[in-house]
This record gives sequence, C-alpha cells and structure tokens, in this order.
Amino acid sequence: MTIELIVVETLERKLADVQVPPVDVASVRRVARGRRIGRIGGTAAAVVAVLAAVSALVIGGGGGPDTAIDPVAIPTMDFTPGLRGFYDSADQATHLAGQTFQLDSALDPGTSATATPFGLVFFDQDQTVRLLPADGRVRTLAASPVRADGAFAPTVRYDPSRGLIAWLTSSDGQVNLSVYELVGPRLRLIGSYPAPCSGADCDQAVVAGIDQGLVFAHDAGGTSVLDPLAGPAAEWTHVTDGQVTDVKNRVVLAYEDEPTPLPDLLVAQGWRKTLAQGPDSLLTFDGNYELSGSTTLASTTGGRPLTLGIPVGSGPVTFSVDTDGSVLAASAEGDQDVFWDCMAAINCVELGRVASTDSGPMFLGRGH
Amino acid sequence: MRSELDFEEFASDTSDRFFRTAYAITRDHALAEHAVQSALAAAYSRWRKVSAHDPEAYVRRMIVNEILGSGRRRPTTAPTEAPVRRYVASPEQQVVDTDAVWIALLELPVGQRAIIVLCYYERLSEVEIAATLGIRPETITDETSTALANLRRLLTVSRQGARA
Repeated sequence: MTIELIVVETLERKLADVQVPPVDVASVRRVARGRRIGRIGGTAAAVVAVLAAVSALVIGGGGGPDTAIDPVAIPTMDFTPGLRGFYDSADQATHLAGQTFQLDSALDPGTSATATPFGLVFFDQDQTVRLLPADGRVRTLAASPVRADGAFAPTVRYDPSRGLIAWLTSSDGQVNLSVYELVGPRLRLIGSYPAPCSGADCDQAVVAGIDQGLVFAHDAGGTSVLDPLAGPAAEWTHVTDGQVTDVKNRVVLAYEDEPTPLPDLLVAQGWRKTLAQGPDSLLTFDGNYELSGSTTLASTTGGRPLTLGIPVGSGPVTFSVDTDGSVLAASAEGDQDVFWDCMAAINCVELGRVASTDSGPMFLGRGH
Repeated sequence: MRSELDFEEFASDTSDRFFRTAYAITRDHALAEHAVQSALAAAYSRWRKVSAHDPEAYVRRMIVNEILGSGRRRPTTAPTEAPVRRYVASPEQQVVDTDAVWIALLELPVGQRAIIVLCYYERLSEVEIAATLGIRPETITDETSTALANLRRLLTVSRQGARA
C-alpha cells in the first residue's frame, strides 16, 4: 500500500470518529448580522459588538446565553509565575498575570472563582462555568441554562494534586456536585452527586476544598467528604459539625466549636486536621501554615510561626494561594490596598495598588 | 439567489465535514469549532454572492485561512489530546499503523498538514488547494512531496522507536 493510500485511509478512519459539535445556525446568523452592521456603520462600537458576539458564539458553543465578553479587551497572558489575580473594585478592573483589563459583568468577583494552571475558572450569572485561559479567549466549560435557586451561590475549587475540578450548582431545588478532570479547556467527567444537604441548609452549601481527589463540602449542618474517584457508588462521609475552610496536601483546616477527630476514611489515607483561627482561613500550598488575617502565619505542624515579608498594614491581611504555590497577600496602606506575591513567604514582590473600598481587597480565584 | 433556508441546509450539510477538516489541521476541538463558526458567519453575511458561485470552496478557504492566520498570530500551543475513539474493528497491526500515521500527521508543520488534509481528505485537486491557500499550484506539488517525505521519515523514526 502506498503512503498516499495509507494517509487517505488514516484520515477517513480517524476523522470519522471525531465527535462533531452541532452547528448552531441561529448563532451564526446573529454573528453575521453583526458583521453586516459593522460593514455598514463602520463604527468601532459595532466592530466590538461583533467580536463580542463571536466570542459569545465560541464561548457558548451555541447552547448558552450570549454573554458578551469582549476578547479585544483581554490580552494574552503568561501564567508561568501564577495567575496573580485580583480585582480593583473602584475602577472595576481585573488584574491577572500582570495585565489589567476590564471584563464585563460575566466575571463577578463576588462569586466563586478558582485559579488553575489553565486559567481562571468562574461562573456567570446563569451558573455557566467559564474558563479564562492565557490566550484571553473565554471558553465555556459547562453550560447551565438556569440561575441558582434562592440564596444559593455556586462555588468551584481546583485540586492541583489530581488535576480535578469540582463545583456545586443548583437546579430545581437540588444542589449537585460535579467533578471533572480539567485538561486545558476540556473536561472529562468523573461524576455527579447530590450535595450532602437538604432543605434550606442547601442555600449555604459550598465546595470547601478538594485535595488528593477528595471533595469537601459544607453547609449550615457541617462538612462532609466524598471520594468521586471511587465511582458512582461514592458516598458522603461526615467530617465535622463545623466548617472545613481549606484542604491542602492532606491537611484539613477546620473551624469548629468543639474539635472532633477525623473520620477513619481520612486517617487511613494519612490526613491530619488543624483548627482554623477563622472561617476564612486558608492553608499554604504545602499545608504547613495557616493564612488568617495576619502577616504571622501559624504553623500547622507545631513548628515556629512564619512572618510574611510584607509591611504591616493598617488592617487585616487578606490571602489567596496562587497556582504556582506562592502566597498572595493584600493589606491596606493608607487609602490603598496593596497586593503582594510571596514565594516561600519571605520573598515578596508587590503586584499592584488599588483604591481601598468597603468591600476590601479582592483576589480572583481564591475559591470562595 | 439562494434563500436563508438554503443557507441553513448548506450549513447543516457541510459543517460536519468542515469541522473534521478543521480539526485535522488545528488538532484542537475548540479552535476547529471557532474556525467553522466564523467561516459560516462570514458566508452568511454575504450569502447572496457566496451562494451564487461555490459556497463550499468559499467556506473552506475561510476556515483554512482562519486557522493558518491564527497560527501566525499566536504562539504555537501544544497539541491537545485527539478526542477520537480507538478503532477496534480492524486487525491489531492495522490499528497500530493507523495510529502511527495519525500521530505522524499531527506532527507535520501546520501548512503541510493543511495541504495533506485538503488533498487526501477533502480530495481537492492541486489547483483547488492552491486557490484555497492562495498560493501557486506548483508550490502545492512541491509541498505535498515534502509533506509525504516528512511523513515517511516520522513513521520510520516511530517504527525504530517501537523496536528499540
């Protein structure tokens, strides 16, 4: 057989097996009409509208709502040093990987977002899960046609140890956990499970964390853990009546009135628990220190505390942990919030300053 | 002049094959989908003119140009995992050969891969490929030979690696 025939046969066979997304003629028409307006009017605004519509077309794959995110306004980014994401409430500007741009209301910094090596994963108002990757072209990871029920707010967290991403969304009064493997802009479903909550408690259900493939979720009634890699039969196990605020490197950070032992499931896998100083406390990437409002980081192993190498500001320090493992910190200095990226806690570089607002410093991709 | 209904029929009839062609060239599902949707939108916005001639050639040209153009605008990214199912109905050796050829195809430079796909999947003539890519037919002849030679080389390396 000649090389030409082998190529023909290979292309026919391989491409016949490719899953083809359905063409959305309605979206195509919508974009095309925008192009016509652009040609006739010739205004910059029309061109932007068309590009936004193209973006929405690509984002939504035709199935989702037309969330007009202007790709022109989002530059290409380098996520090598981490996402370094924070938000300027006063100017409504997004700071990501050293770039500053304005993203429309699709990215609400008040809602959950999580930093991943592939970009920022966030929700829009309809619980559709979006990915903002380094190329600046926002993509839809999972479309959802419904808004959240009642007071419920969707949450998402990423597990760098397993490359898994988990989120809670609600529909028809039911809160569900979805767990996927995140590979670039694509997802591979691991499983979907009802959240461990019922009734009004579900309004407060959040993904508290995901580490080593185990998902922790809490509501008003406490925190439970689930192993989605166990398959469809995976079940929730109660961890504490309190709140697990973070999990990293087999360390559970729990905010609870009465300390309780970890369930056998976790103990058997080498997990340990440490008590959180506050409900917003986080762990460093290695799980060895707690990040909780102060430049002094308490050790979770009984060791000496670590002092973060940033100036002591006039208010509490807000934290996040970036995709490269560095600690992101923000504190007030005069009428400004100053944002820092600290590698190994002491080697800190200033990322930027924004005007302080009542909402305080806001990181993007903190999880919740 | 063709109507809007004709456009819908055209898009429905052709989009699957266009997507596969785009996917073979881009190696990326999302980029392929974007290229096809953009090309169809461009065709629809001037459907009266486009449909009067050869709409398939027009859309194909837009798709390929979009892909090659985006490759020039953006740094090359790592190929994404090919979302294809394993072919299981053939003898094992044939599956291995097909996989090896497919992987070798994906390793070709994007311009050569475009020519190979247009030639051996879309079954276009050299003149048609030249019109699609906007280059001379003689160049297509040369580039096709070079691409096939590269394929042979990649397959030889692959077989040697498999034996080692």
